Parts: sequence; C-alpha cells; structure tokens
Amino acid sequence: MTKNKKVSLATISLAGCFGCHMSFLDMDMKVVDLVDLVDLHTSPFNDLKDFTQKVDVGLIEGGVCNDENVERLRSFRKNCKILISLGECAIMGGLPALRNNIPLKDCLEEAYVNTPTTDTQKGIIPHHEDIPKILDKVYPCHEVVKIDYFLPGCPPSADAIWQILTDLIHGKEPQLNYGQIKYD
Amino acid sequence: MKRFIESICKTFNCDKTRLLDIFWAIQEKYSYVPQKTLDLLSHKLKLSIPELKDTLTFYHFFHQKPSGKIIIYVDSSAISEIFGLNKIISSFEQELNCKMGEVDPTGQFGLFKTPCIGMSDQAPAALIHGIPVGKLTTAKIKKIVADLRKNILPKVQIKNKVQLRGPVLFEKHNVGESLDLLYALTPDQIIQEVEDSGIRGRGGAGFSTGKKWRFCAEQKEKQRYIVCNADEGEPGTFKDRYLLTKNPTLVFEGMILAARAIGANQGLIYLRAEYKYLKGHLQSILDQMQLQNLLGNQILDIPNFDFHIRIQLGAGSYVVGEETALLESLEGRRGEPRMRPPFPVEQGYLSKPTIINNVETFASVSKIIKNGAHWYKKFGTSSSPGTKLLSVSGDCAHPGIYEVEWGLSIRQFLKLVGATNTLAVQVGGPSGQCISLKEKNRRLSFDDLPTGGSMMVFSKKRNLLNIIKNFVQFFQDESCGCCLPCRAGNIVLNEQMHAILSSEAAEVDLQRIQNWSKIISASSRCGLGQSCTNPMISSMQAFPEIYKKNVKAHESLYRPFDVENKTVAYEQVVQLHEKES
Ligand SMILES: Cc1cc2nc3c(=O)[nH]c(=O)nc-3n(C[C@H](O)[C@H](O)[C@H](O)COP(=O)(O)O)c2cc1C
Ligand code: SF4
Repeated sequence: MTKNKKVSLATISLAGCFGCHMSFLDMDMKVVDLVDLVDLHTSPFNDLKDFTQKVDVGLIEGGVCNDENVERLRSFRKNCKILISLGECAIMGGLPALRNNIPLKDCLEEAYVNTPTTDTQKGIIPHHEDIPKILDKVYPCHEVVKIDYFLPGCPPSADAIWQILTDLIHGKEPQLNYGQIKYD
Repeated sequence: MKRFIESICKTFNCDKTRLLDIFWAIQEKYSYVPQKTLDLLSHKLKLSIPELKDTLTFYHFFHQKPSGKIIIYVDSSAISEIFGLNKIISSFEQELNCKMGEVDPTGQFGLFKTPCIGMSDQAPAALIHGIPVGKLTTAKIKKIVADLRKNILPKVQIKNKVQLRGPVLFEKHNVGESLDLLYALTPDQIIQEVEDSGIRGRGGAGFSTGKKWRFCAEQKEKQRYIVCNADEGEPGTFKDRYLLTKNPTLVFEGMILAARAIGANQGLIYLRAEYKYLKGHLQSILDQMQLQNLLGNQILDIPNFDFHIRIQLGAGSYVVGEETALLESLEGRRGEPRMRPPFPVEQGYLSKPTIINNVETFASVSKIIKNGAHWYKKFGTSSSPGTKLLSVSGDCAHPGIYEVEWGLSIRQFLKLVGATNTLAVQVGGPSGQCISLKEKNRRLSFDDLPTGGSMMVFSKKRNLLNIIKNFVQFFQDESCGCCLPCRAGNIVLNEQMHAILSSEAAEVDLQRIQNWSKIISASSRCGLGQSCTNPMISSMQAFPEIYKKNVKAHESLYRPFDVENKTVAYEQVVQLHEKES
C-alpha cells in the first residue's frame, strides 16, 4: 500500500450483533480524523450495499451462518485487497456458534415453533426464496475465504481498530500492543 | 436396579477410588451405564452427578446409552489402516447390518472404532466382547458374526511370535529366582544395584529407575506404593502384552523387589482395558505366588515384609498411560495428568510416595538383581545399558517381538526384521520420530533414537501422509483437553493435514504447521501435548519432497466451502414442517 494515500474501506456485519461496528464508532473524535484518511465504500455506515470498485481494506464483523453470508463474504474477498476478521464472531463464530452443538431442527423449532407467541397460528419455520437459507453450522470467516488479519476482541476496542487502520494507511505491518488485546 | 447398585457398592466398600470397577460392573449388567444408576451411585458414594459423569464420560469403553450386548471395537491404528482397515469395517457393517459407531437393529451388537489394541503384529484386529482377534479377513468376519448370532464367542487368538530371544529377558529363569537375593541384599543395596545397572525406564520417558527408587526411599512418609504401568497405549507396541502373557512372574518379581527396596506393602497393576482378557490369567499367577509365599504377609518369611498386588482394570484412554493421569485413574477419576511437582515419588497414589514403572522395567530389574548390575551393563551401550524389547509391525517379513541390545542401528534393524523397499520407520510410536533411510546409521539409544518399543515399518508403496494423518487424528482424539494448545492445536494440525491430503494446502501452511507445533509442544502440560507434533515435524524433515509435492505455491483466496451441502439440513427441516402442516 502506498504511503499516506487515502485508503478505501468497506465493512460488513454478517452473523454478528453490530457490536463491532458500534465499537468502531466509539472512536469518538478520531472518526473526524479518519474521514481525512479513508474513503468509505460498501458499509452499513453509509448503507451502500454493493461494490462499485475494488477497495483496499475490508472489515468483516460476524461469522457465517447462512448462504447469503457466504455470498457476501466471497464478494468482499473478490473486491478487497486486504480482508480483516473483526472480533470474536468473525474469528471463531462467537456466540451464534453456540448453536453448533445443537441439531438444527431443535434450534429452529425452539426459535419458531415452540416459543410462546401471541399469534394464534401454529409457528412456522420461515422459508421463502427471498430469505437466506440457514447453514448447518455457524462458520468462522477464514473457513470460507482467506483472511489476512485477525483483530480479536468482543468487540475489539475502538483504539485497536484505529491502530490497525492507521498502521495500514501508513503502509506498516499492523501490530497491536499487549494492552490493546488484554481484556481483564 | 437399586438392589444391584447397593450390592456393587458394598462389594467395593463404597470406595470412590473404585469407581472404574463399579462402572465396569454396571456396564456388564446393563451393557451401558444408565443415567438412573448415577443417581443411586451419587447417594451411595457421596459423589455429585457431575463428578460421576466426569469419570464416566472420559473413558472410551464406558457407554451412556445402549450400545449393544456384544460390542465390537475395530482397531483403527495406522498399522490396521495399511492392512485393510476400511475393508474390515465394511465387512463388519455388512454382516452386522449397521454403520460404524452404531448399534445394529436388534440392539444385540455395537460397532465402534478404537485406537491400537496392542495387536499390530497381527493386524487388522478387533476386540470382540473383550476378546482380541487378529488377522481379520472378510471370510473370518462372516464366520465370527455368524457364530456370535448363535451365541458363540470367538476364542482368544493371539500369536505371541518371538523373533529374537535376547540375552536378558529371555535368559533362563525359574519363578522367584531373583527373590532369593532378598535374604542377601538390604533394601538400600537393592536400590544401589538398580542404580549401578544404569537402567532407564522402558515406558518411554527413560528416567533413571535407580534414581526414582532412591527419591522414593528418601521420603519422610512411610506409607508407600508400587504401581506397574501396564497401560501399553502407544500405538504399535505389544511387548508388555507379551511379557504379561508369557512371563508375568518376572514382572511381579520386579514389583516385589521394588516393594522391598522402598518398604511398600501395596502394589497395583494398571492393566489397560484392551488386555482385560489377561486379567484372569494374571490373577491366577498372583494367587499361585501367594501360595508360594512370594506375595502376601511375611514374604519368604522375612519379618514385616508384607506385599499385596491388586490388578486395576482401565477403561480405554491413551493419556492414562501418563503416570500422573494413571494415578488419577487409579483413584477413580478421569485420567487428566496432574501438575508436577510434586512428582509421584513424593505424592503419588493417594498422595503417598509411589514408584511407577513400566512392565518391562520391572521385568528387567528382576534380571538385574538376579545377575548383578555388572552383568547387565555388558549389554547395550555405555549411556543406554541393557536390552530393549521391540514390538515390530508393518511392512516387514518378520513382525513380532525382538529383544535387542541398545545401540542397534536402523540398518541392522531393517535387516533383522526383513524389511525391503522401506520408505520410513516410525521409531517409538506416533509420539516418536518418523525417519527415512538417509538416517539408517542412527542407533536405538536414549541419546540418539529412544523408543518405548513401538517400531513401525512402512514400505514405499504406502502413502506416508495418510499414516501421519492417522497419528494426528489419534492425538486429537486422545488429548484429555485440559491444556488449550493441546486440545485445540491438534484439531488445527489435523485440519492442516486434511488440507494437505486434499491438495488444498499451500506452502505457507507448512510454515504454519511449524509455528503451531512450537506453541503446542512448548505450552502443554504432559508428554502427550509435548510430543504430539513429532510425527508431522519429523516427517516434514525426513520427507520434505512428499509435503512439497502436495502443496500449492500460493494460497488460494477461496476455501472449499460447499454451500449446497451445508443447507441440506435446513431444507430437510423445512420440508418436514411443510408436510406436518
Ligand atoms: C501420553 C503418555 C502415555 C504414556 N503411556 C505409557 C504406557 O502406556 N506405559 C508406560 O509404561 N508408560 C507410559 N508413559 C510414560 C509414563 O508417564 C511413565 O514415564 C512411565 O510409566 C514410567 O515408567 P518407566 O520409568 O519404567 O518407563 C506415557 C506417557 C505419556 C506422556
Ligand atoms: S498436554 Fe494434552 S493430554 Fe496432556 S494434560 Fe494437556 S491437554 Fe491433557
């Protein structure tokens, strides 16, 4: 990456809770600095859904729990020079992966059929050609595409996100110090 | 059920340390351990349900759901694999009409895989209702299953083929001969003799036996124990099976000498469950020795020399062979290694000073005491005196038992066992080293190529990567899980091995394997984690070309990920619900 050129950035939340994106915004006033350093492309921040050009860095929040996640992640891989797994769910599957030890049938029935509801009809398991199909398990992103960097944390601190981005912007190998990945 | 549980608990005096025996008794009656029995046991043994489950779920041979009145465990070791494991499994599946890992429709038979059952000299093999049967073929399996359906169990079919009778363990020996020296030698002199002989443990770790005994003798606490490690879990070894079958008195004599040396009055033999069929035989020898006044009270009329030996049956776990895990298991818990220090000689069985030695170590000590340290040191090399029993298996003309002097070169070894067209030798089992013929001048010894006895030979017609994958899978399955690097690291290594075998890995993955291996071996508690990376690392060193040939230069941006396949489960659930409504 050439030094100090504005870096293009894309972000996405797959099977995550948007906590990592929230943490990103926790950068407070540094966000203002960031505006001078990055161009924001596809991202929930600007609600841009599709890529209009290739970008330098893609941040992925969340693991992969349905077929749409797979498609979106592959598209990120195709369009980003560097992909970063942001946070526990992207790296390991995180909380959503708790369902991995429970048969999918039990999971879906618990969520849609057996749960108390004010609806008088019998619960149905959602399915329609327009809604994504659930995968048998929740997968970490690196099992679907190659991931270049892993930024740990649940969520990673704004400080750590800032550090990684500015390292990349300045053409340095991203590095976190001990304090940035120590949580207790 | 209540009465049954009460009677078993009574048999074992409601002793928590006998939990393995209690579970065995329950399983023998119900063919599994029903949840209800846990409630009853909890009350009787004053153990919580989680504590009971801790032990129950740890061991392969205990089942929590009905698993067949007759259970067939197919040996899934690398040696079985090269001799047709897959065909054997399909034959069993076909004859029993059930899949591997399942129970047949009648509920009569269960079919499972298990790691090496100590039959590598007659692979492929299986344990059928605890009875080992080797050299399995499709025809043999047909006959076995047909017989089983008529309630006829197979006979124990073990050939204990000795290919080389060495000068120490095969020297002529009358029962109790080494014990004659008990009159002449003081306990301290026994230890001195063992120390002088320079013998090092034969179970794999190779610690000085004399030093171990001396440390134990120096402890303040006077209640002490002798434990014989007959867990023989390292895939490819079967030499302890040989000793326990053909010459158990030699082993017991060694234990008695140890007891005299440190003043212990109780000994335990931890017998792996795979050798359950030997328990009766061993017990009858112990009873005989008791009649001959070689065991029991006032042994050989020596005042205050009482020593009793009890056989404790294991329940299927490799890591339990690790000495501190073995102690945990002896005390009725899951076989999770302890932190050391304190070492077993300081705080071992029931926190008392304990000597743990391998079967072969005890047998060798009997010979050392009988013939003297000086005699013993005539064999082997200066740093590795004496002889070693080898269990030889794989691609060679003469698999079986060999007693060789330490210092034997790999070249001599291959000639001896009649190996031709050899690709690799796995020295010391999966936790040892994989070497190529470039290293044929290396020698079996503690300072070059140590071995606990497992020697597997692989010819050029074998796929080495498949063999290494088998080893990695073994460690993944057998890790007790208490150290993260070992528990998760072995899964990572297994996945890497899978990627290499399916031509998905890139050159950077080889570096990743090295990096992971360093972490796993440096930060694991016990020998399993410390040595589980050996097969990959040593084979990568010995056969870089094989690995290179199977990896791509550049890492692909996309991983193989079959979405269609992974959404089948969802489609099925949806269809099922559509139908219902
Ligand atoms: C994972 C693991 C498995 C082991 N399995 C055995 C075994 O099956 N038999 C054995 O004698 N030693 C085994 N050992 C070595 C024991 O921990 C211990 O060193 C040995 O029993 C001591 O006896 P020795 O000094 O006579 O060899 C194992 C060690 C590890 C780490
Ligand atoms: S190294 Fe592995 S087997 Fe040994 S104690 Fe740790 S987790 Fe258990």
